[in-house]
Amino acid sequence: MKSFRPNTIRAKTLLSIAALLVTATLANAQEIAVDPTLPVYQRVEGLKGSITMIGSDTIAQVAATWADGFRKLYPDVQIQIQVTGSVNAIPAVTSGEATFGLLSRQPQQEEVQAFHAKYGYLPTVLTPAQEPIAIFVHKDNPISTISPAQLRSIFAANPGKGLSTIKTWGELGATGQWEKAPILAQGRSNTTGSQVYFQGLVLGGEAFRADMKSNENNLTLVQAIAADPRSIGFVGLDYAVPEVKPLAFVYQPGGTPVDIHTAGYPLVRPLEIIVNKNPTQNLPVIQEEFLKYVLSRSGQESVVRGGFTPIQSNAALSARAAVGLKTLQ
Amino acid sequence: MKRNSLTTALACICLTMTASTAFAVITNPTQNQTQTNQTQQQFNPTMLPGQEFYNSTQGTNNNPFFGPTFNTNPFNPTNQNPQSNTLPGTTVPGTVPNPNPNLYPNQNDGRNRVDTIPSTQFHNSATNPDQNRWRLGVYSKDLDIGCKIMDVVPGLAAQRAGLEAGDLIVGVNGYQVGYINGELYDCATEFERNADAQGWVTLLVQNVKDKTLMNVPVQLDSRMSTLKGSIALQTQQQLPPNSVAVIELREVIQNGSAPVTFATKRIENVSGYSIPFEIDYDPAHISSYGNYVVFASIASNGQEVYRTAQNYPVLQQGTNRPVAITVQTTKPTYQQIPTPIDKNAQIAQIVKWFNQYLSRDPSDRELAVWLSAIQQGYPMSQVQLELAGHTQFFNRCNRDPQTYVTKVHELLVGRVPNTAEMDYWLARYNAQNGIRSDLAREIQDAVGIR
Repeated sequence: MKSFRPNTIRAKTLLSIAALLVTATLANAQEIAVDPTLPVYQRVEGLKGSITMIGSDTIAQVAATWADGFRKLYPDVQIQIQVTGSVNAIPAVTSGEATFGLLSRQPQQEEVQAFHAKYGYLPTVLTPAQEPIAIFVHKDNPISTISPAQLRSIFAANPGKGLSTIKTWGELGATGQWEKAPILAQGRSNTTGSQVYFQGLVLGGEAFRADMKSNENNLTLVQAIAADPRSIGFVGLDYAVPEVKPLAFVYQPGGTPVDIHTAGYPLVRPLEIIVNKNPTQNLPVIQEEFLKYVLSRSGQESVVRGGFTPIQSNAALSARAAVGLKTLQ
Repeated sequence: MKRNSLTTALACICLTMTASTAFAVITNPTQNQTQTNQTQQQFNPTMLPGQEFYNSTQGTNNNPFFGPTFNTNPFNPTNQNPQSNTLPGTTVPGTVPNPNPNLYPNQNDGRNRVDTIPSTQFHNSATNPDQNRWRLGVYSKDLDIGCKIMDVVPGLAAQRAGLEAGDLIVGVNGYQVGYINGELYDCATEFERNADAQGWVTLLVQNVKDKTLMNVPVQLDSRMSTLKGSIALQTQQQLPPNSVAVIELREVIQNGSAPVTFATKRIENVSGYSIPFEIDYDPAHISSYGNYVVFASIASNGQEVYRTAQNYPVLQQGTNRPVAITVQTTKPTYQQIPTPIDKNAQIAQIVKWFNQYLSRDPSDRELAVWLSAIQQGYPMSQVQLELAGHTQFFNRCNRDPQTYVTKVHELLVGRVPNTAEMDYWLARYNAQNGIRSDLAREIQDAVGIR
């Protein structure tokens, strides 16, 4: 498929022009960065102490910016973060080694069971950030949007619901040389977290199509899309490279596109903080204040700076209530 | 109708309760129980505390990929299945009478309020997201039948309207609040969506005492307060044309550490020797023991020409008195990094760094938060720092620490590290427990980037 080789040269002049255009366009942008109804964080006097967070690399980098912002308000607070993987998030909270666990996948039953066995209550799981999952295609691909039905028809072995399998780019509206080109589905393995998540959310648990290519990791998955323009795959937005582009989401073909960088993009994976909250007691003040900060407008701006999707006010209020924090309405 | 007393309001209820139009409220028909129940002691890992919101919104009802509205707009109400309900204390099973149907024209067509706007969109009609924000003045708890008032703050809108602890807010201008089909619709968001320019909304409230429903017009309090003042030039020189003044409200956290800016006002094309200003701020930032100061600077053609030479304390112990400040000539600086006042130069620099680190432009949202962060007092070097810690940058380095150290060194120092430097920075990388921005900060410190 020589005609489908991507153009990997990105001329510096083009980049400069693009940057200038962006500068000119965004200078007047009135983008609402985070939900303006998120609570504002108010500093309290004399807060001291330490917080240790242990767990996933993905959320730890955002936690580092929360820690930066929080220490700016409270120079006497020490915050330590250890990146040891999601596997240690709940066990570290259970053992007391961590104040908070950092998790980028669903809690597993045995982890929750071990916590419950020790404390007699369940761990509280807050979602202070979300990872946008991109549907990537090659940058030269003429398709720019995708709908839930199209995703099912591309990735599911049996799309069901009256849908038929989509095998060529022409079936998604591409014309010319793309019309007859087959769609190459790029995936991971059936046990990978992002694949399990996508399967549950998009396919409703249905099996993936048998000819979906299995890639060793997210980096190689994106490289596969960059290398073969007929490809399509799903992975966290942070794996983007210049040779691929994320598709905008439409609820139905022809609908209003929802860009992956905006609040309405629905393909997001929760990133979680595990809290040891005894239902009969308040959290220590330092923990309450840190969580208030994370769930405030400032904390959510940090989430955006880290490349993730912020939560809305109603999710923040729900999370605050779960750890016993009152909110002035 | 503004409710001046509870007696007046109750009289209104008697008049309005005769309306026959049904007002469907989504609720649990059997019990008055919050969905944010955190006292669950039984082992049930499928419903962990804190996940109620996500269990509901990502459940089958509202899942755009696999819900009942599959293949159509997932937020389209025509495919929703609103439940009938009974508010506790009411006698009409299945429905609750709408005391004034004319106020709620949208409630009578069977639509669920979810349809009016996709729930994942931010609701903000104000041109400035920091302004026109409203507060009722209550602490409340969201239930699946509405929003229950737990405490009323003295002197604020709720108390003026006669609301009291235990009252249940069922709707705001006809839009239900609380948990609806498992999803939370909070009062704060509805206030922003529905309050008029003067902050008026009509609440549908169930009175705690007699369980009757009433329409209660309330004028919400603005969340924003205004500090007034003026800037005087110390010299009698004319300001250059196209001068821009920036006034910042800052909190001094601790002697020796950088103050935190929490409100900024920018005034274009200033002239004359005295410049009046009004700067809006959220009183939620202010505490009685805080130490707050105002700072001002004036720039022309991107170059700062005047600034305050001293701190002017303001908002001390809750007072809000006008402040008169003086600015004096700024010595020319030759920094490559743009002054905080030059927004276009800041944007150009941020775009350049995004392309260097992430090989892409910032999204509008990312640019907006960075400009906000810089307004709040973050230095420009923080952009570099956080981009160096960004997951996408690490991915661009194939998630390999050695490649990562090489790239960061190249970008911050201007060359690849030699063997000794590589060994040192790799050791530091490992010592930072995997927090990459901390390593970038060490390299910044080593080469004197501030």
